[in-house]
Amino acid sequence: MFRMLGKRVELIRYIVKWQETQGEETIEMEERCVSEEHKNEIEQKLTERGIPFSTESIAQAGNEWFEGLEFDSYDEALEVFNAGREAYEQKKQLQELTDNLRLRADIDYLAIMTGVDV
Amino acid sequence: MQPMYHGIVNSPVTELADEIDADATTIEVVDGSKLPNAPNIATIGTGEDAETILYEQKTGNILSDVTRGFQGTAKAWPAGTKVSRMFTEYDHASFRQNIQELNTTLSDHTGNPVIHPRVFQQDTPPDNPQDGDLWINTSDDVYQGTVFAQLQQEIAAHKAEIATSTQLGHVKVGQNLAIDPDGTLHAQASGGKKVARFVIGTSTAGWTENDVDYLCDGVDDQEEINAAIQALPASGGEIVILDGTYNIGARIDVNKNSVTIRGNGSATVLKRMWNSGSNEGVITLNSVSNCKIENLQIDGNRSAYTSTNNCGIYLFSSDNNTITGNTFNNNSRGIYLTDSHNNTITGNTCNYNNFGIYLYLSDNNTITGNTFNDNDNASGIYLANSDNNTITGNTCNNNDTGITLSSSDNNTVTGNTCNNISFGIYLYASDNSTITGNICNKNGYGIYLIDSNNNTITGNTCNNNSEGITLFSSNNHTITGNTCIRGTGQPSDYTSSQYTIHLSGSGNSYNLISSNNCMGKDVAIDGGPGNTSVNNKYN
Repeated sequence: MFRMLGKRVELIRYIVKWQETQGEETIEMEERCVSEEHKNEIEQKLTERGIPFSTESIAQAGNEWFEGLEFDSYDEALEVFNAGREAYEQKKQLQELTDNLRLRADIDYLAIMTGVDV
Repeated sequence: MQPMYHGIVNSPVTELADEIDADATTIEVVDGSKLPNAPNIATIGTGEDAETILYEQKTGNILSDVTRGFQGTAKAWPAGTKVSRMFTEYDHASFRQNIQELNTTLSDHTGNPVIHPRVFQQDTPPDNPQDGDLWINTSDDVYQGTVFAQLQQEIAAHKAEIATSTQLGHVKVGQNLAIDPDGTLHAQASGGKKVARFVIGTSTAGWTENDVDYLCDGVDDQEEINAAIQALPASGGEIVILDGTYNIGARIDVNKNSVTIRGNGSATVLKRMWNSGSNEGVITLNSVSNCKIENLQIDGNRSAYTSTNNCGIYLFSSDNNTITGNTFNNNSRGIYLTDSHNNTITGNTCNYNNFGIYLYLSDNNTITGNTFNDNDNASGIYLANSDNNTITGNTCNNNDTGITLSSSDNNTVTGNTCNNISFGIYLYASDNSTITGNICNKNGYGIYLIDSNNNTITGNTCNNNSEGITLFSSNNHTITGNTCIRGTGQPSDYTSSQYTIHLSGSGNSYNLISSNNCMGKDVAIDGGPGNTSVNNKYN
């Protein structure tokens, strides 16, 4: 479980849930917290307002590799997250290999065209 | 009436064809065309000795059935004496006499004689008073001979008011007055149509029976007001409530169409003095249309009467009405509409209520330019199951929530100011609305949508909120061109739980968030498929 702040992935560590009364409706609220500081801040606000809440810890063991990665969209991030770390690493290595080969080809082309040994 | 005879242009002259004696009643002239048709008069001779005759017949050059010496002395005249239709003393005398007679006997179009009041300013009453006579004694007390005189007195009073005020309880400056044959005094509408109108005052403010049609006494004042409404014709009319505080012990029931109730702004106070067992207003419009409630102050007296059914004004199944320029303070609901459509609510102030204005099952209403402040524990404007309403240019500050749309679709919320405690604008299960150009600063949440779809959120300013714009379980929104910043827009201006735009929870999908000013913190998306965040400025 994670969220995107702009392009950056942040793992969800806690979920704080409470109820708000709005007019004649009671609505379920939740805050997905990315740190203990974040969770404490929410809990303090609710405590000051006298609103009961519950806090759930989210197990993120094994997901730390995902923290801080950047993607263009949540959907893209979710696809990578669901594929898992190994697939991500393989894809990343493949991408790096492809990039290196492309760079080597560019250098060879420049050497041939300029007559300079690289 | 004296007979009056035609003249003839330039008074042409003919002559006697033959001599005549003083007794002749048939007279021949040389050219009869020089004289007007009979009956008419003609003058024989000139100067001080002339004789005016009256002829009943004229055939060619022959005048017959002649009255001799009609004016002047009948006498013998020789042939060739000049004869003409001269302007005579008789003409002038008949004009005067007839005009004077008309002046005293003329009838109006209804057949009633026109009365010319005489005004007597003296110590003692005039002898033999006539219809319309006014007697003003040395103390300036005015007495009248008949009801006509009383009406004259009322008109004088109205004129005095018109001269001293730009807008009065009775009539506006420039408004015409009319008197019906039955003595009823009316204000005239611009088209000349008469408007039935009753004036209400209260003795507690110093009004007397001479000032008003219905005089309240400070207890159950709704009785006089309701009596005035019932006395209006079925086609409606106006109720004018003069300055003063009116204690209302049961609802003022507007139960006929086209009724206007008008006060004098904050000087006319209708104060609630009872608890309602079901939804009721101090003024209740029940299944009526084209009514207008304006310039009244309705005090819900919530410190003493706390029922949640207490409304300032309640419209039930009432369409096409106008509520304008009123103050509805200290009610459970300042303005409450149920099953009421196409109404215009403009320029009112609703403070210190539970809800400022509440619409339930009410569509196509316009709520513009009102003030809804300090409505505790609830909303300034609250729509429940109400669609296609326009909410524009209202001020909703220091409420729990500024504007709430609950299960209400296709509404337009534009140009409002909502600086409140919890939510600026709150949508719950409300779809296809447009939220544009509003200012929602210093709330917990500037704009908050939950379980809502297909709304357009553009060009709003949501600064210094804990969260500028927040979506929860909401789909297919367009959120563009909004400004949502805290402080000076530095990352340090935000704590972990403060956001510019936040898609909260994993239940939001297919929302487009673009071209917003989110300085200091980029858009946060907790989850959900198909959300797009592009071109937002955050650093």
